[in-house]
Amino acid sequence: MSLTENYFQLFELPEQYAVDEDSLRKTYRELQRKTHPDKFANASQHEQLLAVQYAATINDAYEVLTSPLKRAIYMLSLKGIELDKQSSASMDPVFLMAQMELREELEQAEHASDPEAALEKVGEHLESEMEALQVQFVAHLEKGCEAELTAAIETVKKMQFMAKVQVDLEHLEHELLAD
Amino acid sequence: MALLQLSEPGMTPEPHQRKLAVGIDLGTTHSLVATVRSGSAEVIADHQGRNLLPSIVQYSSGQPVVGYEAREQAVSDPLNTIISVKRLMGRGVEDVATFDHQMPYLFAEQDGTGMPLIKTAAGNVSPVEVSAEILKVLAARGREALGGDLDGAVITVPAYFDEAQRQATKDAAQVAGLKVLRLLNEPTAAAIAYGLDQDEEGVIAVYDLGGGTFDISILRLQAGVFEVLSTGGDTALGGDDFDRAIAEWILEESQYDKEVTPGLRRELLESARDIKERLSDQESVVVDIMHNDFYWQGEISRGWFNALIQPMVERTLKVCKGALRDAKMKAKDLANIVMVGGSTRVPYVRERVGELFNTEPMVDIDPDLVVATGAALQADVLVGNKSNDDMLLLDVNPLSLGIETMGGLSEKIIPRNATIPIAKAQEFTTYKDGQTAMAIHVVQGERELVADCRSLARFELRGIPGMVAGAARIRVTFQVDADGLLSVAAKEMTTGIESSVTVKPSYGLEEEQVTQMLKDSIAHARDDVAARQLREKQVDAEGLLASIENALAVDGDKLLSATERTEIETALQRLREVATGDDGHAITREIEKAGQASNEFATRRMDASIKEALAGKALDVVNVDKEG
Repeated sequence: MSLTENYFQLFELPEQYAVDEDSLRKTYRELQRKTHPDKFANASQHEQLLAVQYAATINDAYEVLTSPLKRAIYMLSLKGIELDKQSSASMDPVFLMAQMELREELEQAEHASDPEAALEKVGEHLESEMEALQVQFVAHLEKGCEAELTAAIETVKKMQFMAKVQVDLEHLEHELLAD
Repeated sequence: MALLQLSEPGMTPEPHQRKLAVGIDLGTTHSLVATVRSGSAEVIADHQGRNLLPSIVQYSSGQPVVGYEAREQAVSDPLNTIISVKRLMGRGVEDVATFDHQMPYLFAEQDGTGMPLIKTAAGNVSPVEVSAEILKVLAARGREALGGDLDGAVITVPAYFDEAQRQATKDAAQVAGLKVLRLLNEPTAAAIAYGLDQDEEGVIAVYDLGGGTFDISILRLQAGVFEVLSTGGDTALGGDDFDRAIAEWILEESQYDKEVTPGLRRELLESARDIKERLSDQESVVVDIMHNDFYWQGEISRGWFNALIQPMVERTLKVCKGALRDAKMKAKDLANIVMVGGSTRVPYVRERVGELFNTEPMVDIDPDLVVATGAALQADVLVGNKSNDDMLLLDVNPLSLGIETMGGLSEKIIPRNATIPIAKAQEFTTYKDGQTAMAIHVVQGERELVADCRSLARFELRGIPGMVAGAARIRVTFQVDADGLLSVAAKEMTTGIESSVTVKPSYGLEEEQVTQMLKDSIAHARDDVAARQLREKQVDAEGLLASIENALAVDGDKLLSATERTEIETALQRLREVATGDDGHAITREIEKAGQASNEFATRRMDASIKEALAGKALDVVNVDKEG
């Protein structure tokens, strides 16, 4: 066991997209119980620095493994694919249309009579789109051949688009609160 | 065969030798100190039996006066009596300029640092020094109650405190001669006191409205784990603002047309505080204020007061909603709302918070004492008195940390509400051909524009080889430790040139200044600085020896070869020979060497303990087999 292992190995999980969140959280806590700097408040300076490093890595691993998008990107990176270095092929037009519709929904929600409820609805829509993409990603990844990997990359890029809409949505929600 | 006694890993041996540790709540209006004695946490009172210490310091010709005595001078000597210094912690002169209407003090600027100094009869003092005076009194209370020098302290800070405010607090503790075991977020401290008390499971919200700061934290409590899901707040909003609103209203009503002296202003604020407190029990109060030629008489009702503070309470509720969203929770998901801070005594605050979360808030723990109590429990664990296997705090970074990029935009590197400790790296590149240096400006805040964020530090990475624009790869790594403090390192990846800083906020104190202040303050107490420093080194050496010896006893056979073990033991022996002597340099040197000799061992132990954690039950099975 060491920090050079990949995040799935660190959490003793099979290298697959589907994760059991409850057991993941349990493992996370057990690991933090052993490595958190609070457990080394009395130890030597070196051990304290070591604890910060370990705990930070475990936090990062947990964040990656629990986030659908980050987990997908990470799985691609384990296959030697760096997402931001991929040339961007043109997006499929059906997806672009769907994307524009979501953006429009978001804009309309902002000016709706009950913007909070409207935004929540957009959020639900977004979530279902995201879930569909995750299913696609798993299907492509499992087949594993070159063409399917390319399709998996395209799917993750779509997930990134969706994540950007999500960020804008949260931004709007916060602005509503700040008014 | 006799059984060997082994102590828990990470715990120092000799459990009978209790270490002395305290938890300190350094508040805007009041501060207090608590400790754990015979298993339970209790607040340490002063000789008059008073738990609270007003966070007020009066500077006159002699020694600074702290607490109730200082408060008595607030009206007659307003310029030298420093109140609510917490609001100034980690702030720059330009921030302080905006506090003009709130604080009567005269400010000066410390040369070149941008740190505000308060002009007093005893000379210029920094907010850090004022806070240190308060901490010294509390530390003395702790020493007296526990009967010895303190081994360490946990000091609480508002969860929403930024980097500069946290660093200033830690500096103040150092100036006061305290060893800081951890800076602990106030709502998290309250959750510890509350959670351990109630054996609560589930998601709770801690609503903490103090004298000068407001925090909301949403936490998941489960089997001794306190996991902060989100936090939000306002470090310039509290009960003080209620007082100010009342005072301003009275002043207006009185139609007093002369200049308002600092003494009158203080008198009005004191009356306002009294009115606010009385309105918690009474529906209306009759007020009579006389100060020199000022006179006002009137009646103030609770309904009127509620209307006055309504906008401020609304502000806190909006922050609560944001924190709920960030935690991805709905009000109905919460098992409980814990109310912390003196200002939650105001009935209107309770009422509105209850409405928002649709539940009756918990008020059965004294809102003034709960933070210090939680800090004491954490201090007891951290100092090593209690096996810490059952308690775990997972706290978050309150505000996003980033660096300035082209166009004055902030590129976030560590997002807010990320669990700490955390380390994140991001690569940047040059924008001009042949660029050989890069200025790195570290900022904190949520806004897009750097100008709207808080500037934390600037440093430069030099010696980048001249390349075409965009060819250099500069990797900037941010690390936030368990105290919420940041360090930043930058490295040019093609050449390996490195530069790093422990972020000292732009208008914070330099390490040497802190040391100097500590020396000055000890000199006042006619203590011997050198003797004290030597003693600290001896204690460090003892601690290191104990911890490595313990580690060897537990894991030495398992993880080390005979040669490796001998190497470590030799280094320990050298350290032991100088540990109790009076050569400070030799102790430092041997501590360093012993640390180095045991580095690899420490790493192996960490890996082994992770393995053990994952193996869980499998380990028990192995043990049974051995016995059979």
